[in-house]
Amino acid sequence: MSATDIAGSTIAPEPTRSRRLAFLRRPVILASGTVVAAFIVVAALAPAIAPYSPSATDFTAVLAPPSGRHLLGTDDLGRDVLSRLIYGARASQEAGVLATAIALAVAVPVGLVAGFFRGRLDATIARLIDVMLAFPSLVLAVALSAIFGPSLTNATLALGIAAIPGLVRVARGETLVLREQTFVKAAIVSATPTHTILRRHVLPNLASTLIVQATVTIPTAIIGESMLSFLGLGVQAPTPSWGSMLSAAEPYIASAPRLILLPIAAIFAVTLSYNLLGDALRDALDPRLRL
Amino acid sequence: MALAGWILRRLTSAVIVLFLASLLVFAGVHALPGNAAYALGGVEASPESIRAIEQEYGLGKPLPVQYFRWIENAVQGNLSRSLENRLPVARTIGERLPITLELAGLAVLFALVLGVPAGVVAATSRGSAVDYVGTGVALTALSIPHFALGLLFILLFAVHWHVLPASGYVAFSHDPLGNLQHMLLPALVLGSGLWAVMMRQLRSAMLESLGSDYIRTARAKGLGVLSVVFKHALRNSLITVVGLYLGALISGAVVTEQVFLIPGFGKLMLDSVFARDYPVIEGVVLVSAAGYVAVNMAVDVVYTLIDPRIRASGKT
Amino acid sequence: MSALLDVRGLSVQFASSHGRVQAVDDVSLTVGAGEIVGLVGESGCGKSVATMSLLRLLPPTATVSGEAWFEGTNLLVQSPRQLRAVRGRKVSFIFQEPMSSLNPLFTIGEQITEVMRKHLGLSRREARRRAVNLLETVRIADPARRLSEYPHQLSGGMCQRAMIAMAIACQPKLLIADEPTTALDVTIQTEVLDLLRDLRDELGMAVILITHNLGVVADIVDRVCVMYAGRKIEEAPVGEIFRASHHPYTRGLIAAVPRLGNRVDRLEEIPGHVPVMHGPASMCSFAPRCPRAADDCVEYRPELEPLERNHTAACFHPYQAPV
Repeated sequence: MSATDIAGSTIAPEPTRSRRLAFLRRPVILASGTVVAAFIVVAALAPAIAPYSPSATDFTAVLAPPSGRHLLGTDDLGRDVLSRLIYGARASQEAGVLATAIALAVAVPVGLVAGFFRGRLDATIARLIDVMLAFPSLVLAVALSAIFGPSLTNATLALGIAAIPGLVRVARGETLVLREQTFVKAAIVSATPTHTILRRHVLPNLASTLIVQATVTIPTAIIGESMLSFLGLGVQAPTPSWGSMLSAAEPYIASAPRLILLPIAAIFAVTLSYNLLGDALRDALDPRLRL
Repeated sequence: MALAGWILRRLTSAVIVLFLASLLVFAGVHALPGNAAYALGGVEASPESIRAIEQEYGLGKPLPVQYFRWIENAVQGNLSRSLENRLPVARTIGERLPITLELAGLAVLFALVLGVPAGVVAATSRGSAVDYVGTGVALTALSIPHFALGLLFILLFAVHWHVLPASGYVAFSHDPLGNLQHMLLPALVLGSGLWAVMMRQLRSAMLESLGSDYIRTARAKGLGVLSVVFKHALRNSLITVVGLYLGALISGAVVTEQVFLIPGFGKLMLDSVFARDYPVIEGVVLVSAAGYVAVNMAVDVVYTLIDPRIRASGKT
Repeated sequence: MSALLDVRGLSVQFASSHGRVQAVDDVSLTVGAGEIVGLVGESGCGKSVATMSLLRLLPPTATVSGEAWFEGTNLLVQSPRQLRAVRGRKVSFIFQEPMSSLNPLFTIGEQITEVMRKHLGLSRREARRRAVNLLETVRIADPARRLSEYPHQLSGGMCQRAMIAMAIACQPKLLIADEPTTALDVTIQTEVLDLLRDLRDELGMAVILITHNLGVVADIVDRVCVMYAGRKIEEAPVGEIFRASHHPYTRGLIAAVPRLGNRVDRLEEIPGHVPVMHGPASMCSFAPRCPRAADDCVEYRPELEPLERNHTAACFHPYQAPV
């Protein structure tokens, strides 16, 4: 007599592959995933897509409203807004991805080491994280700019550094949990070399969490870049960035509000999509939420 | 006397942090390429003016000496003079800091007034439409940069509806109503980021609290919903809200003041960087570090007031 | 003698992400005034859920049906407001983890006086005075000082006593104790149990003692109800349960208790585990693990049959001889 013979006492079945894939087809993920993909494509193919050069000025058509020639109009120097928006995606893309990459490159090893080896080193790192967690990227960027002069590179560096503490905390936390799992303990006990344990057992399991975290760190970096560029601490003229477009447009807020609204819409769409995608990915990949 | 020991340890680490911060600031500024005196006076400056500048700013001496002189002066309230307008830095900071403090205070007030009820409502109506709407709004607020929200507000309230001023600042002592009018939008903008974070944290803290054993006991005792939610659950969750938002406030203040053209501490920081006004930069960063440390300590004190377990054990 | 609490056909279902869960299946139970009834079973058999459902202390995902007559009213159809007048006043609860069942941010005194001020309308000073008396009754030394202490400053045993003080503050007719000693040291366990029995003697209060530990049951309980997979499967006075239980599950439980003096190589256990029910049982839910199971056990559901006076069991092939 097996357990399934008892009416109604069967335990719910493991969700199969197809169930998880079906989950990925939910409208939220599709929509946000499409926007993110579009953003990446547009940024990569900017020179091919943009109708004009972003720095091509035309003083005969200053602040022109949308028309056949300029689909989204022109700005205060006669530059085509659509082209500048497209090229602006590049700055955001670069900052977003690069800053996250920098942060991951530093945070993952540090978090792994701290969480796996524990001890005094871990305690020091943990305290450092607590102190640095609330440290704003802006101050870092300001500092870097003050010393080395403002540029997109410095801004990206500042954003990357600012993202490190948060990622270290996640990596360390996950490593701590994984370390206590039976399969890791078994590996330790069977004298597997440490680097193999880290590489084959810990890291792959860390990967799904890190993917989610990366997807959420990118929008923070994008917002950070737009803020720094707005303040003049990021991209330098004439390179366009959504943030710098906004600061240039502020004096014309009354006469040409679309110059304000369009870049904001772009930032919002991309950031929101990344955030939604990250949340959805977290739900899909989190092993604890399965079943 | 665990409490006294704890205070002492806090103070010591605070002093150490300040010391390190000041060192960093000093090193950073003085690590600049080129002779600072020439940077100040211009490449064409005559030797006499260079010497005068060096004398005034003590630039000729070895670095450690410069550092100690700087610290010595700073502690006495002398932060040297601005390169741009020759005014004492300390005085400029003294004029501008209260403005930013007012802005930050109003922003935190807004965030609390909006965020706490929102968090409570979201937690108690979990899973319902209200909860999703609230979370959605919070998510949206986190996906728009501060300054963009500021610009949108200006567009809406100043340009479109003409109800509030688009920028500028009026001193409270001069014209209280005008002051508040000018501060309203900036404070809302600055508070919006905080609000979203507070609401989410409060919501999850309350959910955790509401699922706990002591809430079960409270219900089993026959206490009403109000009592259970507000007296028991909320009090346990408020700790998470009293957090360190200082980082977000600082960067937010800089941006908000830039958008709304408010002559505050944040704008001072930004302007001085662009103008390469080193004495001002040094002073600003030093004051910021001191403020950061002070707020840190204040938050810790609040923690001990709220949670008796921390008081007893003497550690967080 | 009319029963203090008369539960008839109590069923509780939960709606969860993997379908319905039948936590309690058609359970009937009576408790007389001043009786101590033991509600026994493995984890997950529904004993806690059953008692919590009486006062609507379950989450909104629970569906409760049946009747629970207490002082002339059916608790299961009362409004939340009416129930709040019962909770803590007529029927009290104490729970398993005393340390976490008390709010860490309030003093013991605040939490005890809270319930008295709510239900009895006492002034703060009056309530405080009573609280001191209560702490004495539950044998906490230096009660006045303890009142202003916080839960983390008390030991587990003292916390549980404070919880008991809170529970009896309004002199309830019924105290439901859900695994009150499980989280405590063995020596403290006996003290708390003795306290419960003494309180019953002094106050005439009835007690439902929920536990999975038969040793606890043997100490102070008058009558035992055994539950399995949400159903009550045996009920008898405590002496009879140990001496001559009928249901194979009960026998299994008793056999699983290690005894001093008996050298064994392996502890006895009941193979298998408690199933999760997704609906009312249509057969004997213990059958897969039962050494005496036969065909009719899988076809039909056994109901409680009186095998002796005051002794019922739900089994088609019960043990007849004493243990």
